[in-house]
Amino acid sequence: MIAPACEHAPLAGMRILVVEDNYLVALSLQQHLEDLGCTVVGPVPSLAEGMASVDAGDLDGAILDINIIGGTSAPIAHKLRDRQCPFFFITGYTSPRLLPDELTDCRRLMKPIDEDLLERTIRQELTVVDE
Amino acid sequence: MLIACPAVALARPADDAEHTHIHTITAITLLAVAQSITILVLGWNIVRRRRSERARLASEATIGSLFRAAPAGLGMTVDRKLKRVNQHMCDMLEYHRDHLVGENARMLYPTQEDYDYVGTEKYRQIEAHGVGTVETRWLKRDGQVIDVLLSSCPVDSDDLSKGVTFAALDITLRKQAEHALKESEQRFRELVDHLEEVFWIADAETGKTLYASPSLERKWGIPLEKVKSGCMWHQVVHPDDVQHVREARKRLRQGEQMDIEFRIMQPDDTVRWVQDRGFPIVEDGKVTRTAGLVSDITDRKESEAAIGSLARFPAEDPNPVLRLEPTGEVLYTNDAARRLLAEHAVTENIVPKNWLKALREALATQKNQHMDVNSGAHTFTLVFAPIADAAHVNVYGMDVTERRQAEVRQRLIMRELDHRVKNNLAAVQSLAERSIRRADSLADFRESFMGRLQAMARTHEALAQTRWDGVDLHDAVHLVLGPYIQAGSKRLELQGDRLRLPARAALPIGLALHELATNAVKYGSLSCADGRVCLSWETMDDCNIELTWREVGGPPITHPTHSGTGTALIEGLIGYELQGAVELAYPTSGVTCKMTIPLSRFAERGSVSDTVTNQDSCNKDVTS
Repeated sequence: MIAPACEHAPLAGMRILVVEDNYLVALSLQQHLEDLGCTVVGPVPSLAEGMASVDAGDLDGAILDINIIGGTSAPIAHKLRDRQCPFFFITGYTSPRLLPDELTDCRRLMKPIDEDLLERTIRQELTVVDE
Repeated sequence: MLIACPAVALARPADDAEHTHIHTITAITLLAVAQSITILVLGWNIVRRRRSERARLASEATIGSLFRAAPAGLGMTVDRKLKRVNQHMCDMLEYHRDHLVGENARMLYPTQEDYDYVGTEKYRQIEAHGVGTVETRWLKRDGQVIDVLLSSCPVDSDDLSKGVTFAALDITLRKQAEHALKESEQRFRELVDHLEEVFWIADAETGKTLYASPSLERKWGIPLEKVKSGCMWHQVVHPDDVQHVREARKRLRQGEQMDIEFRIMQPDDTVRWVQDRGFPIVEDGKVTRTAGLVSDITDRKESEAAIGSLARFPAEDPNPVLRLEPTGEVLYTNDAARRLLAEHAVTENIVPKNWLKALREALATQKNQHMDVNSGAHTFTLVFAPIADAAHVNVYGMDVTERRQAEVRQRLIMRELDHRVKNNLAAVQSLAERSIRRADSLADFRESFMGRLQAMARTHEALAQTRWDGVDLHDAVHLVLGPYIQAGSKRLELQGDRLRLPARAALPIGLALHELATNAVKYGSLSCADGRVCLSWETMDDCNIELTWREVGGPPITHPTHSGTGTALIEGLIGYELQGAVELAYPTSGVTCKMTIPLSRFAERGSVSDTVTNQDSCNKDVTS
């Protein structure tokens, strides 16, 4: 079972994959995550690199931009879900239409990203506690 | 001779013939002795006289017989007084002879004027020709006036006082007939003169027009002479109708009725439509003549054509048009509606079940109801329009395919713009964060952040000009480098064909060029008056481009001048975001930067509308 983690769960050392095709946004995410003590895997801008990073394994979580080079990040999300690796989306789209139905209930963070909200979302979505 | 003379003279006064005879014999007896030669001569004379007397008597008898037998009123006047009248004359006027003989002829005339006219005219003719004939009027005994043809001739043309014989014919009936005929002709003329139609009569054998009423010329300007020579329509019928008219007229001559419509050409080449209704005139079982009535039906034809054209109006409508019973039964469909029903309805006669709601609603509310239906690749909005005072509903389809597609496209565009705005804000946010982190002072932050923000804004400006449908590299370069190099300045040399950058690639390239330019202004060729920048590009295979920044004429370069933020930014924007490659070099002569960019990867995502319409091709990439 996956349950929401407490607010003060340590994030340091978490390996988080960042898939974001906009260089500046990716850089910003990386900076924020590193400020939180996380280890950023990537960031990578494309579907192909994103898939490869998941395959490479050893991820504690992932932050996925929906629209990336090569398509949408849905296949990456599916792969992460198969591996029970937590993730959430960041997007400029208000509507979830670009995502397949089974992914529409996933958490989406709107750009531009608020630092505090990012941290909260990471804590809620990416930290897992085995009950 | 001398003796005989008194005898003769004696005999002369006697009127009676017998007495004359006796006196003559007496005279002969008395004078016989005296002169035998005289006797002989006298005897001869007597024989001759007796002969002529007998002839005269025979002639008198003949004339008297004629006088009695002639079927005309005969008589004689002397000094215009009736001396003799025959029985027919009496019968004609219903008078007894006694009432007439001895009376002045004035009694026969209804007016003095008539009497005077006859006196003047008849005697004028007699004087001129010996005989006078006039038509006049006589009064019968009962006061009835009859028409009379009166001919007179004097007994002695040298002496009118000897009397005038006359013959009178009662021509009342003939006059009446003439009058009736005249009236009938008058009526006919009045009729045909005012007839809108043209009445015609033709010879059945030759087909020649015997008569055509004046309206032919009045109405169509066709001179009567033109039709007299042959068939009325000769040279007048429209060439396309000639055969049709010829056949109908042939059947008419064979005894059939005719009712045809055809076109004629007026002398001014105006085309008129006419209707010609003809009938055969049969005499002794043979068609001798044909007759007919021609009407101008141009107006009718034109309105028929107009009505016909109007009637085709719904049929020609590319959109579905139907008329429905309240039950959903189909009363009328045009072609488009039939196609629609063929796709949706079970039968052609009843509309699909899901239409019934709108139909009932329209009838119940008496207001138009709308519903969308798809037909093939098309979407139609059906308007169910109830017809007041009629128990049916008209359905008008409107092809809204493009409108619906536009609506979808509009929604996608709005969403995409929303997305881009947010992505850009995120990028700005990132730039701000970076600038804040690395700035030594607020002025430092301001310089680095505002310059980059300006570069972004200018690239957006170029994109907005094309509605995000890519941007011309020339324009983008001029806009981005505008703050550093004046347009048209020799300090900037551009080499390369016209090239359209996909919108997705424009922003990173714009920002990268900005970074190179600010560096050149600070340390490179743009930091001195003579330095220049050469920007060249080349399209490689697969639509990738090679964009080369080369600084010339600047101060000698001794070491990499911007290993810091600028270099990282260029490498990130080109290498990371555009999946390209960056080669920065620092030869003494000036900085060079070669950027290889796989533009083709971003082409499909170039514009907002492309993003929408190329959704499929994006999805293909997902699976690859």
